[in-house]
Amino acid sequence: MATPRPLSPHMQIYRPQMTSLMSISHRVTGLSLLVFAPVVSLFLFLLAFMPSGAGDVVGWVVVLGSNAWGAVVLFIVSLVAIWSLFFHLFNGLRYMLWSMGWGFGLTQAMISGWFVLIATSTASVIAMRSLLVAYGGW
Amino acid sequence: MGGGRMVQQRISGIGHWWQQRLTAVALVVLIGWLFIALSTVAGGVSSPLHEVAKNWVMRPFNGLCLALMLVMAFWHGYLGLGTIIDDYVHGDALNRVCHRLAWLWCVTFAGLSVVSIGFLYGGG
Repeated sequence: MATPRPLSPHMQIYRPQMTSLMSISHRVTGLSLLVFAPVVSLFLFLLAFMPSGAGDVVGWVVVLGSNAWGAVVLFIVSLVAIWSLFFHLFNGLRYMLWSMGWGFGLTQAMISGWFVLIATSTASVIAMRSLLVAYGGW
Repeated sequence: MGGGRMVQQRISGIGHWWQQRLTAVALVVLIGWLFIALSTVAGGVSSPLHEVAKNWVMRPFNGLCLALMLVMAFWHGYLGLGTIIDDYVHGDALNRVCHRLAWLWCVTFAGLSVVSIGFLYGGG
């Protein structure tokens, strides 16, 4: 066996910092996207091979949304998916800049971190709003 | 990058790094396109959603970009998942199993997306 990889810092004894929290969030949102992306694949599969099934699924979502608690569940699930996508996108751009050697200073990393959080929140609110508007229109 | 354990991951360190970045750049562009494209459909949806979605995917440029986006996404996801597995799953056998499952998950859904979009291309 080759040299083992170093163990990640033990989260319990490690003081939370912008850099470490953004890093672990990048991983968590990446995992979340790997759970949500297959939903798109499965829906495409239904569209192609079982169009009536795709219609049924849309119908179930509408029924779920007409129930108060169902609507809460739908809202939270959509928010998690959208938040994950935007966070991973914006923080990924931050890491790309780091890879190019830009913004590696501690202050810059702090500022860009906050920038990512603000951009993610803004984009998520806009996306959720258009989703709700589109949903209300159906 | 040298000295990683590379149990299952046969991609070299530099290759892995570049694949991660190139798929990331492609995804930034494709997701940007997706939001612009979706925002043009979002207003005034009157027919059932699945029919709107089907017609949208059947347009050649949309289908091509969506297929490309999903392949890049699952490729990127496989690389990222592999890194997480190597960081947290230390037993050699279990590490290997996790890499296999990650590969299976990503290839299955990437394949499903491409086959489905390809079928819709042929007129459904």
